[in-house]
Amino acid sequence: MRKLIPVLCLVFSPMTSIGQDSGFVGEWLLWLEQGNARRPAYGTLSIEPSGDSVGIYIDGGPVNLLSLEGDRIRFDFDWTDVGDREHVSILEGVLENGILTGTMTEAGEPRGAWRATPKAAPESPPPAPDPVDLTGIWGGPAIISKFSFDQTEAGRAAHAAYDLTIDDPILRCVSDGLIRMSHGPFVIEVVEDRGRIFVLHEDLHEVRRVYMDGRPFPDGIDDAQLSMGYSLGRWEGSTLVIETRGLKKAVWDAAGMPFNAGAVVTERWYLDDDENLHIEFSLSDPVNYNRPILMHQVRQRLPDDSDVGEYSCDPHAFYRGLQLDGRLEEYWGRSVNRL
Amino acid sequence: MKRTFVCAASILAVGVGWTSVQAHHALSANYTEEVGEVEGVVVEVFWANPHVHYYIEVTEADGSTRLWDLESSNLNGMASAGWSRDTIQVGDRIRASGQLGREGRPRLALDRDSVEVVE
Repeated sequence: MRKLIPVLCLVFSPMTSIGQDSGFVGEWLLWLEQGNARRPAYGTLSIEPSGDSVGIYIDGGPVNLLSLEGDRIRFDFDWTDVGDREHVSILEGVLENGILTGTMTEAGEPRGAWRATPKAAPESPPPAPDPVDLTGIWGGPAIISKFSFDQTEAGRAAHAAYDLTIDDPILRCVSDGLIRMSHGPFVIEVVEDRGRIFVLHEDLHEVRRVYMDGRPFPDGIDDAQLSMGYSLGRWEGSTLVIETRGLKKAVWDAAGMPFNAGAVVTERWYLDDDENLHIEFSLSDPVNYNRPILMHQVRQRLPDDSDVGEYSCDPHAFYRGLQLDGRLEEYWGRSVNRL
Repeated sequence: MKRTFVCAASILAVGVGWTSVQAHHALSANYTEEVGEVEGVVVEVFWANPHVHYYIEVTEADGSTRLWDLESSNLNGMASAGWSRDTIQVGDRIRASGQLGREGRPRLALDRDSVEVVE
């Protein structure tokens, strides 16, 4: 289904015009109400000048501008639910006092409210370090699941070759890697000690080290083949900026969107006025995508005496299922696809 | 005797939220939208992450038997729904419904609300 989206983009190409000084242009923190959940989901809305109109992207993937008149905007949003089913919702909103607010519908039925607030661009030059305390236990995030992205030919081929009933590494209880693990439903604990920040993941007990001592990346890091990568951190004001390299070829979502070794992940961690932890992710992988993939998650601080659970995993049922399905030989034959 | 379990909605139920917060891996890939029912004797309980499975032996119309794989949620989801390792045991005869496996494969995305233990 993903391959249909570029076609739809052409069918619904924007017909309206916009001045370059439009208040819509910019990068926004997108907030979506969830009908069946206690908390909203977050993402990144980018509105960019494009000819005499605008291009709109959610989490780095294109969506279709349907109308833009005065201070009102209307666009669609393709996404997948927890059952990996595709949806297309329509977001209508109004720009007022620098904030976008509106309502969502799907097939004419209301889906709730949405809001977008401007994101502050990183300061240049970066401000002097002003560290804040990010240590503690942080609850799992709620993120949106954008469906289509601006993939290169290689990216489309890699995704088409991926069989998520066999190739998904988590089926074998193999670590699903930095990006996917960071966006899963699990708690993290952040600990700082001796020039490094440790991120302890509930998921598969994975441990991540972020080196804060100013060291450079090791030689040959892009061939390191690491699940969580090699991460260097620094403070820009009160924002922790982390750059990660050395990731092995993998997928970054449950639907199997690929990324290659050599991809670079940049994160910006900061606290909002309510002491929630925001983590902005940017995945740069020009082999698979024509523009960076963006994600924005918000985690709530949990009490210090909270237990961090253990999510261990046993691959028995995966192999048992392949045997029952008569697909074990197919699995052994797909070693080239193994992540 | 007939026990019927009334539980919270299964993690495999159709999701309507924006979030992929529970989509640790894509569950729908192995299942169709079609819902079916099976009845058989439990021969194995796999009580572990990523998902709990019940393997049941089903007697076909021609008298032959076939092993079916009934997939439920992760351990947290099972606990939240009030299920434990002992809720369904080896030797129980159960009747259950859920989304059927693709291409006629003997799988069921278990709807926990549907499960009955029958004699």
